[in-house]
Amino acid sequence: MEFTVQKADLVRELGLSQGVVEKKTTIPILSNVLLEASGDRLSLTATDLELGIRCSCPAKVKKEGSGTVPAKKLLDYVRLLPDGELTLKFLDNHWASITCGRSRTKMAGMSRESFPELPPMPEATAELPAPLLASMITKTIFAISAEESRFTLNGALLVIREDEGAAPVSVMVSTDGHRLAYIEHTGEVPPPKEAVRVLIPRKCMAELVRLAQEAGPESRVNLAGDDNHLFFQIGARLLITRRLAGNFPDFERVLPRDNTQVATLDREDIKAAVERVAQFADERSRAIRILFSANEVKVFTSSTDTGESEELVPSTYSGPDIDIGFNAAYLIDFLRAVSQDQVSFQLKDHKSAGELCPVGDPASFRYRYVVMPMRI
Amino acid sequence: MGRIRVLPDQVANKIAAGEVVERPASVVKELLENALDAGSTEVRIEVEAGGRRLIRVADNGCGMLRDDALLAFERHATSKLRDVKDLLAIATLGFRGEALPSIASVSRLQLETRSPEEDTGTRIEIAGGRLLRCDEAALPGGTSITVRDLFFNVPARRKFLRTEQTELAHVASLATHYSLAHHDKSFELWSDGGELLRVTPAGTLKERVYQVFGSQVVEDLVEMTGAEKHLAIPADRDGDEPERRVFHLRGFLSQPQVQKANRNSIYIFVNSRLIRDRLLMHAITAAYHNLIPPGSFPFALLFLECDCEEVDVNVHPSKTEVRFRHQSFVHDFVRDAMREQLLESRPAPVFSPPPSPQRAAALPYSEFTQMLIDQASAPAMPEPVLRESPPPAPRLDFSAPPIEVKPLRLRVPDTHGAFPADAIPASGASLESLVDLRPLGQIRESFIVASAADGLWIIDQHVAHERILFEQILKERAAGRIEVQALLLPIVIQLTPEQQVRYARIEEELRACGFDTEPFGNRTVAIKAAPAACSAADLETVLFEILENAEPEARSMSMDDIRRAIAASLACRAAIKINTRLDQTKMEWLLRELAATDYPMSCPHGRPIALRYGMHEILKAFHRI
Ligand SMILES: Nc1ncnc2c1ncn2[C@@H]1O[C@H](COP(=O)(O)OP(=O)(O)OP(=O)(O)O)[C@@H](O)[C@H]1O
Ligand SMILES: [Mg+2]
Ligand SMILES: [Zn+2]
Repeated sequence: MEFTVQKADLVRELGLSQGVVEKKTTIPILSNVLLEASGDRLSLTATDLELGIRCSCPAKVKKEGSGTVPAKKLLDYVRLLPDGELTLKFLDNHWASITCGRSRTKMAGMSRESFPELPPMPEATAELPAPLLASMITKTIFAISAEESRFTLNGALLVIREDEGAAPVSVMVSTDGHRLAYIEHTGEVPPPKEAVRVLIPRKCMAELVRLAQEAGPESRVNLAGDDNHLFFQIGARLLITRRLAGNFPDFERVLPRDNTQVATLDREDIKAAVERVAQFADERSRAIRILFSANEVKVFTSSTDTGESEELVPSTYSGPDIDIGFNAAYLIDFLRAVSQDQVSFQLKDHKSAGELCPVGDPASFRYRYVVMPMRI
Repeated sequence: MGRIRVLPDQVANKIAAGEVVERPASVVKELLENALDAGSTEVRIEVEAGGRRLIRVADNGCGMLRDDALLAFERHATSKLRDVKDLLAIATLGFRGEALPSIASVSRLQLETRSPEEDTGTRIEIAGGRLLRCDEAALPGGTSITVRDLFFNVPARRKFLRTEQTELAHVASLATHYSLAHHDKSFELWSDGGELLRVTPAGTLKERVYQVFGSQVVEDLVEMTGAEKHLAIPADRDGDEPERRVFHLRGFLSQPQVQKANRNSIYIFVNSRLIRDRLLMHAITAAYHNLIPPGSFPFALLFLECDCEEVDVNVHPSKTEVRFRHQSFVHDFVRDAMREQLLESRPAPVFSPPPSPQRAAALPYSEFTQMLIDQASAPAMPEPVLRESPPPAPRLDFSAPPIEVKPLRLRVPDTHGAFPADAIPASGASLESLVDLRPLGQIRESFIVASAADGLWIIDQHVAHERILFEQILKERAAGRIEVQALLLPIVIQLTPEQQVRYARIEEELRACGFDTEPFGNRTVAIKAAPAACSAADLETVLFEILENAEPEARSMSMDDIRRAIAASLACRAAIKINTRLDQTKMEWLLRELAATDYPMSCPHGRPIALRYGMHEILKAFHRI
């Protein structure tokens, strides 16, 4: 196999495969990227057996064929080459020879035989604008539980459905058992061929954001699935993930219905207040308290070994006093994820779930963040 | 007028009666106790054929008057008790007046004794309980009793004796223990002409421990120089001053890295009497709770002194059991005193020294016994084949020829050489120096390597954090300040019938520790909120672990134990895992927090936290000293 590519193209596509390549070297072939040259394209494939990516770029193919080389080493080297074209050729011993201007390098490779075969993508069942998917992910990914258990999933739920006579609705939800992030978007999405309800693993979500950003504002994501895998096609790039097993909790039950006490606050103010006060919260639990009272919100910690702290933030609140405990880290995650100037806290009492929302979102885009209180 | 009296029946009947002589070691024990009761300062024990052929105990005590010597072989004849009242405050090791007649009835016994008050002594011979001779004789002061052919007239008993080596091991262990209880006296044990133990009077208990066990073992021990607690007893009658009873505890405890598979390394002396006692055993285990793994035991050499009225020794004919008048007071005193000692000394385990027969975690007594057994069974001639490694150097050197004999019998240096004043570092390696540790980095993202003026340290990051969290959780629990995180959706878990029973038992404590659980019917439990330290993903595992731990000793486990088990489970889950990269500030934080804990030496499951490669070892390894 022999082909010539633009260095910039190769660097870009290799860069996208880095997040997928297996970091631990338990199975050496998984640290490699599979290079396949045919027609006028070079395609690159990487996988860690959970997640797989296939990208491609234009190439002048002199001799079709394939081979594998260590992905990181290849990227690190190619990046240092001068801009312009480079030629890569696989030798009989699976080594790759790379020539570029006056540079000549041979890299140890491995036969493609042992590289895992990625499943073929079935027909797409739904389509989403890439920026929408990316935004849904960035607003929910932080609420995913770090570990997987019978009661928590290491991923988020994506639902795309079309209620009769109404515009299609896409929903993404994530939770770690203590809090839940919920995005609901109406319209803009072509009606799905069939309703979608899939669990997307966290690692896949992070890669999707990268691919969506790389693809630009006009691009779209085609979604497909077989029994074991989910496929996301963005332009010429394909991301494949194993499906997460498990049942997503019944989140509808958790979304508060009668949180009638509402406080509207300046997002920067409350974020800064929580961040500062949190310095004096317990190292582990990050517990802080918030006292909602007329026109004012007090963020504070009860006194501990490390000291105590309190901040006052003006608010439009007019309900009864509510003194409620929260994990500060949970609040900060949300306050960092929204860009609106104002946020609202919607409460019932100090024992029930609190809800946070950005203020001023269009009705077609609802972002809800539910946090369970702490007893301190 | 003689000193020995036959006890009146009403007293004799109150004494726990039963078989006294079971095996050679029981004879040695009785004779040894008599010698100690007689105020001796030198005791010499000789045995032949593991004591089956001959046992001789010679002392330099008060001896017996001519009239007493014969009386001593009457049942219930004793100089140590007078009336029933005395039974309530026994200050001597013997009190029944049973030992000599019992021994004399199953052996050929010769007594030679002289009291300093008389010019001549007495020699008596008895066989199978029959008096053969009783003569006046020229004898040195003190008493020597020779017991030959034990059980010669009781073949059934003889059949049950174990091998000579085993019997000898029992005798040796007994002599060792009594020598520990009386560090100011000299003891010798000879077997078939060879010396097994010879200790000269030592100034301190520590010195005696060193003489007996050697420096390696002493290094692993923490000395308890003396804890004291007073118990006020309400006066019997109004107007009387309440009485004050003093309890005193001293001895040696092993550092937590020493872990034994059984209780054989725990020696308890109550008023100098070696005993086995469940209450104290429990107190000792409790003191090490969360410091060593469950099911393992420390080495402990404990001397509890208290007023004789506080302890009843008249419980069992073997005199190895006692009953305390104020049981829970004694239990808590012993447990707390030991805990405080461990807390105060914060011993740090060191890297194991190069392979040596005296391993840090060696089991002093059983090793000693094992050596005796090995020694006894070893072929007389050296094996003609080359061994791969030299045989272990025995702790007590049997083979060494008697070192130069100095004028006084007791002056012979003991087998470990003189006690070097600096053999034991004054405070031992202490975790105190944790405070000025400087983290250098991690090994495999699991162990923190740190340097300090006193050497190099390795700290297991997971267990270190576990210890920090464990104490923090317990403190919060004690203050009722557990932070609880409510769950979005209750987690419903299914219990086995067994778990259900345990759950019911600890439900209250679970709640107090921050678990809002609710029985959901049909052996299911809904968890609605949990300690903030615990992630929702871990909850099920933690709860099952807690229920699991509540099981094995369900009855003996107090609520305090359960509380600690819960805290340990939570801490283990929440602690930094191994294979986790830590930046410099995080490592510094961890070491600082660890230094601030009460017991930085082991995690709540008893694994060691920190190892030290001391400056001394480093210098030695580089041949600089
Ligand atoms: N080594 C000795 N030196 C001086 N007196 C002794 C010695 N051995 C025994 N006696 C005397 O003989 C008595 C009887 O001894 P014996 O061991 O039979 O009974 P005891 O020690 O009084 O009680 P126990 O049966 O509990 O041992 C003792 O009370 C003591 O007066
Ligand atoms: Mg006696
Ligand atoms: Zn542990």
